[in-house]
Amino acid sequence: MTWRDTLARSARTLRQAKVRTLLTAAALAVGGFTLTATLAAANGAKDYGNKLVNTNFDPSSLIVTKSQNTFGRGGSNKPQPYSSSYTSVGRNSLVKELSSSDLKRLAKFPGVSSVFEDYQTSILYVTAQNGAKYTGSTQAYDPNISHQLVGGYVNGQLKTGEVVLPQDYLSLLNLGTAKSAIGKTVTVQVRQTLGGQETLQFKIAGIIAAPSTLINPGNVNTTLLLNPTDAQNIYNFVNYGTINYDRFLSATVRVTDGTNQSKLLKVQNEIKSAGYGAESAKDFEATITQIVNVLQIIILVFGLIALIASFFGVVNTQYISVLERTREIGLMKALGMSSRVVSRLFIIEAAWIGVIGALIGSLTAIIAGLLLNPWISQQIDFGSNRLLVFHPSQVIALIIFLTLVATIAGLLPARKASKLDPIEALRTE
Amino acid sequence: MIQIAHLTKIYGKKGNTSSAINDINLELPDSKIIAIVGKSGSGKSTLLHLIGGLDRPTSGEISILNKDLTQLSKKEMDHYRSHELGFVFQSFFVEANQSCYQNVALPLEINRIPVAKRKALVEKALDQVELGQKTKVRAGTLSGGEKQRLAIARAIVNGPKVILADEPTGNLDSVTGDKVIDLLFGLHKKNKATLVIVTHDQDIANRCDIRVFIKDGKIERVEGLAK
Repeated sequence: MTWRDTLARSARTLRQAKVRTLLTAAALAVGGFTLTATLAAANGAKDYGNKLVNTNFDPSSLIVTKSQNTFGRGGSNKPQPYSSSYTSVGRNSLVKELSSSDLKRLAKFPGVSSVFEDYQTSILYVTAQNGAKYTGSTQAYDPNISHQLVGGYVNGQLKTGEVVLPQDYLSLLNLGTAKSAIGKTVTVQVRQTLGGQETLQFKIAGIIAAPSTLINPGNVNTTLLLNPTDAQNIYNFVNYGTINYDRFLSATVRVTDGTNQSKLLKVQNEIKSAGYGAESAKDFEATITQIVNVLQIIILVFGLIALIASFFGVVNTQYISVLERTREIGLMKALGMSSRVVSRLFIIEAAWIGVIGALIGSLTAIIAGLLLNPWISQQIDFGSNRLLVFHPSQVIALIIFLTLVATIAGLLPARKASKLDPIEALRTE
Repeated sequence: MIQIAHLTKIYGKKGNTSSAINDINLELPDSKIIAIVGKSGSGKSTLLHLIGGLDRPTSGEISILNKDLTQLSKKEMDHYRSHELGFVFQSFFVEANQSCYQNVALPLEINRIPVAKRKALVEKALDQVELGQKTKVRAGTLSGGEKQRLAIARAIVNGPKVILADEPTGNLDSVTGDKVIDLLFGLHKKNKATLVIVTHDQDIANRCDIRVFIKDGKIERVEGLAK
């Protein structure tokens, strides 16, 4: 019997048992759906992670901390011997922080082009001509990070006395549109921890919107970006006389030609060997990917469990099919069909079930994904990004895999069919 | 020619065996209608299965169309059954969910006959058994007589040299049974294939050229063979 006839005959047999075929395929479809959706979610999460890193981190720089323990493991929550670099962070947690002398030392490492500290500081309020006062914070403007400016233009670094203002303040401070606000002045009131206050004025140079891929978009929505000197002055003023004075949780170390990974890695290793913690954008990306991978594996396991169940479903269905069609098998063998072809018929039937199940599962997942993506993005604040991203090559590979699983499930019943004695089979009532 | 020498078939294992065929010797000419006659359990169906290559003898030789069946490999035996033989069974064994066309096309599919040639062969076979108008009808909806005619069409579609019919009228009423036998005999006249009919019906046996009577696995007598 030719392959064409075998395929046609197997398909015809399955059509004659539509309900049974569909029910068996449905079990495979559940596995197919779960696996397709899981892969798509992992794709979406990884894409989002990549965008997250690219938006938040300069690929040619390193985030450096005082201690290598700061990354991942957080600070110590047990009493530690006194060290001038320890700072309390949060409740009962101590981390070693960088000082300005550390920043100077880092700047001298070979391959380092500059060291940047963002001087994030909470302010008392920001106000404008309308007199309304709103809370916020200040931070140094980093020209190496791609900011989403919706008004104004910043060429390189901000000048002292300039500010890039988050878009949300426009209406609150009655500053007009993103274009008309450029050049207007805002007043920043800062309060020293020890009691003193200072009033500073800044000219608006740009208006910024927070892209949805920012790690903390809410932070950007309330952070005024200043020239690093202005940001440093505010930071030092506010923290003067406190344990936070001249202490920085992290600093951004720019590497000359740092987009070259080997150069970046070389500087990273040197900084690390000096006892500092140093992470690149790739490291953060790897961390995100690792988290996504772990979650993906957990869900994949559920999909595989469904698949194992459906595997036995196919075995069971095909086994019953062999028992029900004993006389048919006997007849085919009596008419000269070889055991190999009989076996092939049943294997292909199982493969068809696999194809049907895989198509139902994958297509349902894709349709559900396309329909639900906007809603999911809204629920998890993904902006214009999509959580479920389907790669055609993955879907095709999955369909092939599920077909293969069903084919393997068909081997045992096919073997039984091929071993049937035609005389015994024809005697069966 | 069908040549059988010292043919024995024993079923069962040590200590619990039964002899279905016991040292049979027989020579039957080609292109004849041969009846194998005997009571239930006499061994006539076993003999037919051995001639049809569905079973292997315990000992002895069986040669058909110059082929020693005892020497054929499994693959050669499959080829022998699919190319040289046509089978008609008491219980018809038509595939109820398939159309008449698909039932008759099965041996052609097994023999890898190209699709283009199949249609003419199937239609010719169905016309010969007067089912030419029912090519698309599901076999399960046919009457008993029609099912057996369909089975005959399936048996002749390959143009076999030997047709083996195991109690072909056993499940039919006498009128329908006679029609089926008339059909088989009529087809024999046209294609001259050797027709071996297993039966316990003396009337059918009497219409055959040669009658082989079997009792308890042994040949009781043979009628119609030229000495």
